[in-house]
Order: sequence, then structure tokens, then C-alpha cells
Amino acid sequence: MSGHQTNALPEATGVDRREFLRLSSVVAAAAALGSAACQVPPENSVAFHDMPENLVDGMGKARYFHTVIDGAPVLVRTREGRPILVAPRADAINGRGVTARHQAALMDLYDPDRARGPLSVRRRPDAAVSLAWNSVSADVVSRLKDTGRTSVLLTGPVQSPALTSAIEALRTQTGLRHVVWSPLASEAAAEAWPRAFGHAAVPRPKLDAADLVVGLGADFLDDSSTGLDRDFAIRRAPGGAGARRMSRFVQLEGRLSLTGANADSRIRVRDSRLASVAAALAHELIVVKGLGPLAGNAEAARALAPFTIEAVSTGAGVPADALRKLATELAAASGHALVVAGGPASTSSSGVALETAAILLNVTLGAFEAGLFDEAAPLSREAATHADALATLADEMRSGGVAMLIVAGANPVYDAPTGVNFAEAMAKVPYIVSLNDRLDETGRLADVLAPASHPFEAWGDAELPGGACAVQQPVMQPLFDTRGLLEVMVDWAAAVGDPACVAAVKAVTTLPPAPAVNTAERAPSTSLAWHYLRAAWASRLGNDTGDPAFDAAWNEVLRAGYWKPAASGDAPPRHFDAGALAALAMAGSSAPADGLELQLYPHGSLNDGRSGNNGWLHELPDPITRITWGGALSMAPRRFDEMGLANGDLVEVDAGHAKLVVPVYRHAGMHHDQVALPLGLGRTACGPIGADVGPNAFPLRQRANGRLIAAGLPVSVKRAQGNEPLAFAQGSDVIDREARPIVPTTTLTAFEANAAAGTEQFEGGPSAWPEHEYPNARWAMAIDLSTCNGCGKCVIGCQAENNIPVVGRRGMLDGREMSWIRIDRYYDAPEKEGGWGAEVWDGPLDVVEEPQTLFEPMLCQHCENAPCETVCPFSATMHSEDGLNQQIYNRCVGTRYCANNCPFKVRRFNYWEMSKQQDSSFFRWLVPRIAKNAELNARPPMQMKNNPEVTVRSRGVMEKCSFCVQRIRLARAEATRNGTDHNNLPDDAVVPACMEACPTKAITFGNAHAPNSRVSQLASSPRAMKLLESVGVKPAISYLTKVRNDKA
Amino acid sequence: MKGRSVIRIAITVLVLFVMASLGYALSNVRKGYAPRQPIAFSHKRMAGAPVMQVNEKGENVNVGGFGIPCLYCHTMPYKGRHSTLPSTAVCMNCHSTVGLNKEWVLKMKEYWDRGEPIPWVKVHDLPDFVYFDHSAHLNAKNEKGESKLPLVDEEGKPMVACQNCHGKVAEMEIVSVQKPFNMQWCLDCHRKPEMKASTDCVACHR
Repeated sequence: MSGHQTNALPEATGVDRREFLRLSSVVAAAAALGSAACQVPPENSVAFHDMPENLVDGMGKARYFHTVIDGAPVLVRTREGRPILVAPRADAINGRGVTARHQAALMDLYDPDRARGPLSVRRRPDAAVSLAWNSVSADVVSRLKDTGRTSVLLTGPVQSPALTSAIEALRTQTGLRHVVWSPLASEAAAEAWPRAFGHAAVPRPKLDAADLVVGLGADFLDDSSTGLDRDFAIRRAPGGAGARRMSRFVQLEGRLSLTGANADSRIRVRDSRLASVAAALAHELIVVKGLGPLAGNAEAARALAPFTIEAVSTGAGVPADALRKLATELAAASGHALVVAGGPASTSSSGVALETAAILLNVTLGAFEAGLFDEAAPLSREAATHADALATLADEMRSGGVAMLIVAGANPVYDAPTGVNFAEAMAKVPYIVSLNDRLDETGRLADVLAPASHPFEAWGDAELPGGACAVQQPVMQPLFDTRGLLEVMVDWAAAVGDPACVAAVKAVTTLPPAPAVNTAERAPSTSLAWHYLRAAWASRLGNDTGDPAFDAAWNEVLRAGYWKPAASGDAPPRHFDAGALAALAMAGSSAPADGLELQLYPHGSLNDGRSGNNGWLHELPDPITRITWGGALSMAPRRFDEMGLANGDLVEVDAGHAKLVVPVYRHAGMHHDQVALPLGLGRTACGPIGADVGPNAFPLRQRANGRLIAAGLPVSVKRAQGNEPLAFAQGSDVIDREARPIVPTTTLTAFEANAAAGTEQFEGGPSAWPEHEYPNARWAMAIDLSTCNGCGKCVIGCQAENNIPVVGRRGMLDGREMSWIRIDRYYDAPEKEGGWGAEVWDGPLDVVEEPQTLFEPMLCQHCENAPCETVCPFSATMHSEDGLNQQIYNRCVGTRYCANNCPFKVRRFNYWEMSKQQDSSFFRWLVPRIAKNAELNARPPMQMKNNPEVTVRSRGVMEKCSFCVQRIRLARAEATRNGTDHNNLPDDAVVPACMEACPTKAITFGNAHAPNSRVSQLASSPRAMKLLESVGVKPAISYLTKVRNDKA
Repeated sequence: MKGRSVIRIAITVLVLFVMASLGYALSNVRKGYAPRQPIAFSHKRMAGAPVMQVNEKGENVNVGGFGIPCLYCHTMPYKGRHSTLPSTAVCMNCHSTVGLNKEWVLKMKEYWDRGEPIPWVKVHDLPDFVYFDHSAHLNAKNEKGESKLPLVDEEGKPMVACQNCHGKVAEMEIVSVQKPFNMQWCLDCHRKPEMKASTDCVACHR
């Protein structure tokens, strides 16, 4: 000590110099920190220069617009002029549904990888320089005038009547040829129906009117763009009577699809044998049982003769008894039964035979006479891929016969079938313009990219089933220097002298001067497309555009979203032409030699892959395989085990004309001789989010007989080196309900004996917790597992509403997914003598060869005695007085105790700062994932999709489903404003995003304290089960039993 | 030994005092905040009570305020979450003809002529994780149908409901924050039994 005595404080103080300094430095630091924190960071509040008239009462409030995207009518919610949510219309339009791709359109709209303006590419995408629209248009128009007859416009499917007429105008004026290429289409149906009945319309099956539905590879739940999932669900809840009696659905298919997973009973038939099995059913009904108008018809008997059940069952490997039983069931339900074909199975070479057999079965069962088909609203699917036209075009291009190629909405370099070699053909075309929205696979090989606007930014229209028509109205100004497709076509057609288009240009150039600011008048639109569209709609709305009556009718169409013609006359009666039965011959001949066959099916969310750069769609798990960010070859479990494979092992798929090395997946319910690959993956030039995700299976497709063959392709599969881990989402297990009764399910027979069947749980002990008091409301939810089909649209709806980031493939592999609601997919282990052991978790063949699939939407259960609440050391998660389990981000410090203690595993932790750019280049270098996360979520203008009513969470906090508390609070404020009781809101005052997005109305939300609310009635139904009753958590969510109709 | 503990206690007290004053300062970071605005807009002149005076020329002139109601400019507090700022066009309703010799009016007009919005600085600025709804407060009624927000001030004089939180803005040359605007202060009201207001976290945080 002695050495330090000199300048130390006197001994008597007890504090030596060092300690004093230490203390004072702490105090100084704290004071410095404190004074710095005292400053409120100044924030600007920038008022309008001149507020738009229609915002005067709308600041800070959502505005809704009806519009249409790729033919799907949607409701778009906007805030301050930017769309933040895409939801299905409240009143469904017959024959149209919204798919996950449409719901996720926001991510396409705010995609930073879209082209920002016209580019001069000159086939060197890395050296592209920007251009002006006027010079692009001038160039194209002069070339059209010179070489119009040898120019080709290649588009994707065109659903817009206005665009069709503008293209037609361009064609008449210049001789331009229009070639359509749609990668996915129902070609077999489009061929079979006209042959059978002489007219082209494919009517829409009324799934809500049939007691028995037999699917022959049907995909009406996988593809929700037709809205059939809605109809199907109407008859899926048990307990209804008469016209709402529960229907029964039997599916015959090779790959377990979402549709098949919802079947009451399922028979495994490989795609190439499906047509013969369908013909065998027809043989049994018509020839053996003598049913229907064709009984005794010699032609029918001759066509069906080869398809006796005995002959077919051995060839197809389907037990004859099962087929006979199904035929008996069909015969008994005659007049109330529907047979639905379609889906990937119809793209096999025997697809037309399959569709014809399905028509024949419907004719035999009297489905047409019984009104089980809606003739007024035909099933509007693309009728043809026009693959042959594309191949012819490629040949012409190769021979130098095409002077200019304009590509709009098509991407044949990515998705053309084998043998077309479009990229190579493009090299022989002197001038190529791409109107796609980015430098995609095709655009990279073009001379000029003139990017088209997103449908949310441009005027247009779309044809709906049954002659109705919807206006595609822009919901925002274009983000970039892009133009709508209709705008461009009208502009070009006017330049080559089409009168209607010239009139639109005149209307724009002779506009009256814009009214002075700060007046109620609106400036007239300067959009060519708007003027052209209105003129085109004048015939529909019955008045001239100058007429005030037209404006009233037009505004009404914009408000309602669509226009419907006065009821048309009855559809022509259907007379089955027995000559169509000749197609059945293909069912027998087309069967490939014994061995594996491949099915290519559209990806569950990405569909044909045109939204390839959309993170939401990549991260939405496939409803069956639960794979995200990629795809795998689905293989039957037994074959998979025999080959000694593990999930993700690489295998080589050899289809003869093309080979692919892909990871393999043990797909439950797969036919032993079939493998399957999803289409729509493997984009190479869409942007960094979707590039090189999964394999591109489009080149495996083949052209034959004017159709594209994508199923029943003979392939060989052999093991390749390596393993590529599959990014499975949470909730993809086999469940032994004896041990874990967490999914209520039963059969209709058991349900009729005891309405509470399937909800049995373990007994719990008494609770030591005091009861919560709910003075006002208690929010609760009921989910009907019988109508829920597991499609996952709620997941996208939730993601958009609640600003949920995507975590990417790495994040999924780490198990760090962020979705607040997920669809757990379970395979129900059948009862077993002595019970299952731990081996059940590995998916034994007894369970997964013929699986019973269960879907259970899983979200925060808002437990009354929430285990998370008791363990939070900071009270960051608490019970609210209206029964919500609140998560308070600004209190949370990220201990993650709550997530550990949550029995439902619905809490999500922000391990990364997902929604902010990390500017420090050092940190980006140090941890590359920071840059990757920002690439997925935080590149401008992606932030514009965020819902301003919900906090954007930062790193280190826990989050979870809030029951869309922002919507509850808005509804309460609305009630306060209106002077009604905000503590007693009526049903439907609060609709959470998942409920809004659900096409089948499986989710009900409301106040469980109001005895007459729908949710409290459902919660008290005998079918209701609150999970983990034995633990005593008392969830607010009631699950209603999944009932399978076993009453054959 | 005695002196040593005195010092220890003194240091402890000092530390506690610094922490307490820090805590106090932190809890009141907003009170008294009066940022400079791009235009020296006077609420006192625009919204204050008129005071008529005879000037040296013998004319009767208003040296007080014009008594413009709050809602003339801030249009939305009863209808929506935000009270909203007026667009420059609202200023121009009058100032296209009056006050064109005043420095700040001309500054405003420059913004208007340039077509540029005025970058006002937010005075009553809550953290971004707080979702405050003006309309839910202004429209809140008790069982008798009376406003839950007091409509008379401490002196018993009638006042606009806005004054409860924003103070007497109509008397301010430069607007400053009069109340603490922290969570404690919010809860002081929400916890009053007669308010029957929610004290749930999600009432403001979501």
C-alpha cells in the first residue's frame, strides 16, 4: 500500500483512489448515457402539399379496391396509396378462386429485382444500359411497319378481352402473328369434352350438390384458381341434413396430393393405369350392371369390352374387390354422384381416355340430368398449352423466317418442353423485344427489355366464367418506369393506325387542362389504356363513354369489381356422342412397360414458376411434403426403403430425353411404381431470392399428339452421390393418437353414434390456478378440421398482415421459421395391438403406405393458463382482460423461456434482424447471413408491403400470433366512434387475416362470452376439442373433429 | 470507522441520487420539448382569443388571435387514429389573399409555389411501438353519454377536449409539450375507475 499513499484519500474514508475513480467513472458514464438518452430524436411530420380529395377523411385508414390479377378477382387493401394485403373477395364469384400466388402478389409487386425501366440488353444482360420508352416504341413501331408480316408476338395466356382486341388490332394493321404459350393447361379435358358433346365448354362440377364425388386424379383442392375448394367444403361438415348432408369423396391417384389427402377413401392407381381403371368402372356400370343411357349400346359395349374389372385390376395392380365395391357405390348413388378427372394424371398420354371415361361415367350416372354440372359457369382453365405452335415458331426462327420477336408474359427459355430449344432459336432472330417484368431467362437473350407493369399498377380487364367480366384497376402508381401491357399494345396499335387506339391517343392528347389544385375536380386520366378500356366497355355497359350514365355504370363496376351480363339462355342440352369412346382405346395401349413412371405436377404455391422470385411462395410449405425452398423427387416409401435412401439423398432421374439430379423424398401414399417432381422451380434468372432454388423439371415434358405429356413418363432412377438437405417446415410427422391425442378425428359412423367421438383426451387433475375474470369480451376461435383442407392460404394471409419476414432455406433448415400460423400435417397411425412404440415416429410402412392424412392449423392458442406467461421474467407476455395472450415487444429481452415452455411450439424468436438493411460492410463481411437476410426481406421497396398497424420486430424479441389484435383495436375504436358498445362487438366485426384468407370458411373468430356468437356455439358443440386439456392450459381455440365419411 | 461509513453512505446516496435524477429525466424526456419549426407558425395568433384594440391611427384592430378552431386544420382527431396536419393548401385558403406582407407567410408561400410539402417537426412524438388513437379518446363516452375526457379546466372554465393532453395550445407562440407523454402518465388516466379504460398492453402495443 505504501507506494500509493501519497495521493490517496485519507485512510479514514475507506475508499481508496482507485475505487473512487471507478465509482466516479461509472457515475459519469451513466450520466453521459442518460443525458444522451434524454434527447427525443427529432422526427418530421410531412404534411401534404395539396391533399387528394379522396383522402380527406381517409388518412391513416385502409382503403379497399376490387381488382383482378391473372384472372383472379381479389380485394386489395391499401394504406396511403400502397397495397398491403391481397384477400379474396367477400362474395365469391362462381368459378373463380384465389390462389396462394395471387395472395402473395405483393411480393412480386415490391420485388426489387424487377427492371426499373426499359433496358437495351443487346443479348448481353450484364452490360445492359437504360433506354427511354419512347425510343423503344418508335423502334418497334418502325420495325412493325417494315417487317410486320414476319414479326411474331409471343404471349402467355391472355384472359383480357381488351388486350385481345388490342393485339388483334395490331395484327390487322401490320400482319403480326400472335402465338400463345401457356406452360400449364387442361389439354386432355379440352380435347375430350368437345368430342363427347360437340361443344367446347367444360362445365363446372357442382361439388356442393353431389353426395358422392369420385376423383380420378382430380386436383380441385391443389388448384384453387377455379374456386372448387369452396364448393367442396360446403358439404364436408358432418351433421348436416338434406342438401347439406356430408358428402363422400373417393380419390384414385398415384401421388398423394392435397386433394387425395382430403379424400374419405383413397385408392392408389398409377397415372398411366388410371384411364383403364376408369374404363373398368364404366364397364362394370354399363355392361355388367346395365346402368344409364348407354346400357345395351353396342358401340359402347365394344369400346368397353377390353376393360373388364378382372383384366384391368391385374394390369393396374388394383384389387378387383375395391373396384367392384366402388362401382356398386357409384351405382347406388346414381343421380347424386359426380366423377371428376383432371389434374396431373390427365397430362399422361392416356389423359384423353381418362377424361372421356370420366365423362362416360357422369353420363351413365345421370349427373347431367341431375344438374350436377353448372353449365352457366364453365370451368375456366387454360385449354391448350400450344406447345406445337411454340415448336413451329422455334423452327421458323431457326430458319430465319422471323424478323422480330416480341415476348410478353411468356418465358419459353425456362419452361418450354424438351426439343424446342428456344434459346438457340432466338439467336437467329434479328431483333427481340421482351415485355416481361425483369431480365428473365428469355429476356436475357433479347435486344431490348421494355418492362411491363405489375397488374396492380395498370389498367386492364379479365374475362370471368359465365360471360362476366372484371376490370383490372390499378391500385397504385407504377413504382418504376414501367407501362401496362394494354397501354403498350394500344400505343403501338395507334402508331400503326388502328382507329380505336388512335381515338384513345386523341383522347389523351386533347385532354382539357388539369383543374387547379385544391379543387374537388379530378384530373382526367392520361392513361391510354384507361381510355381504350372504357371505349371497349361501352358496348358492355350500354352507353357511350361521354354519357354520364356510362360514368355511373363504370364507377359501379369499379366498386363492385366485376360486371355480369343479364342471365343468358339455357345452355344447349348435352347429347353424348358414343363416337368419342374411340379415345378409350388409348387407355389400353398407352401403358408403358413395367417400371417406374414419372409425374410432373405444378408446385403447390409457385404453380408454373412465373413468380419465381417470391420469398413467401418459396417458404410456404408444400401441404403434403412440407418441403420449402426447393423440391424433391417423391418416391414410394417401400421403394425408398429398398433403395436404402434417406431424405435429401441425390438421385438421378433419367427420362431418356433429359436427365436431372435431384434430392429424393419419402412420399407417403405414393404408388410403388410412380415417382413425381414439382414443376415451377429451378428458375435461373429471376432475382437472387428464387434463383437456383430446386430443380427445373419443365424440360422433362414431351410433346405428343398435340398435347404436352407430363405424367406417365417412363423413367429410371438411380442413386447419385451426395445429399442435399431438404428444408422441411415444422409439423410434418406421424401421429399416434393413442399416445398423443392432439388431433380430433373420427369416422362418420362413430360420429353418428356419438357426436363427441374423436375428442377423447387424457384426464387432467384439478387446477391450482385462480380463474381469470373476463369482464367484457373473451376472444376465441374455432377451427373446423372437416372443412379445413390444409391448403395454407391462411399462412400467406397472416404473413402479409403481420409483417412476418421469410427466413430463407438456411433459416428453415435451422428450424427458425417465423410463420405465426402453420398447418401441421400428420399421418394418423392406425390402432395397433399393444400400441405403437417409438418406431411410429419414423413413419413405418403400415402407416405411410396408405396414410390417413390430418391437417391441423396451429397458431397461438391464447391459453387461459398460458405456460409462457408464468415463466417470463419480464412480464413481456401477459394475459389481457379480453383473453388475449399479449406479447409486448418493447418489454421482451429475449430469454426465450416462453418458447421453451409453450407446448404448441408457436412462439417465434427473432434470431436475426430480418427487416433492416445492415449497413456496416464489416458486419456483412463477418456474417454473410446478415446480407442474405436483408436480401430476402429488406431491400427497398420491399418495406412498402409492411402493414403500418403492426410493429416490425427487431432482433432479440419473441413474437407469435396476436389474434390480429390490430384489427380488434380498430374495430373497438370504430365502435367507440359510432357510439356503440366496444366491449360487445358483433360477429364479423373482427375478422383475423387467417379467417379472411380461408376459402372454405373453416376458421371462425369471435367473442366467446356472447352466448349467441358463432364461436361460442361452435365451442360448445360436442365436436369441439380444446387441446391438451390434461395439462390444464385451457386454450381459446376449439378444434372441431375431422370426420371421415366411411359410409360407403 | 464512523467516518468511513458516512462516506460510504454518502457515495451510495450520491449514486442513488444520480440514478433517480436520471430516471426522472428519462421519464420526462418529452415534457417541455419545443422544436424549431421550418416556419414560425404561431398557434397563439391563429387559434388564440381575439383581443380588439384601437391603434394609433384610431382603427379597431385585433392584436390577439383569430380563434380558428383546432379542427379547421387538424381535421381527423374525431374520425381516425391521427389528428393529421393540414396540407399547405389549407394555409392557402386564407393566405392566397391575406398576410402576404409577413415574412413567414411568404416563406410558406415559397413552399407552396415550389410544390414542396413543409417538413414540420413532430412535437408530440410517441415511440413507434405505441399505437395511439385520437378518435377512441375523443369519442369515449360514459354511461350518461358524457365525454370521458374532462371538458373544463382546473379553474372550472370550459375547454376543448384536446387541452387535456396538449395544454393550452391556443396560448402558445411556440408549441411545446405540456404533459409527460410517457406510459406512466397514460396509465394515470386509464387506471381511474370512472374511465373504465383498458390497461391491457395491447391497447397501445401490438
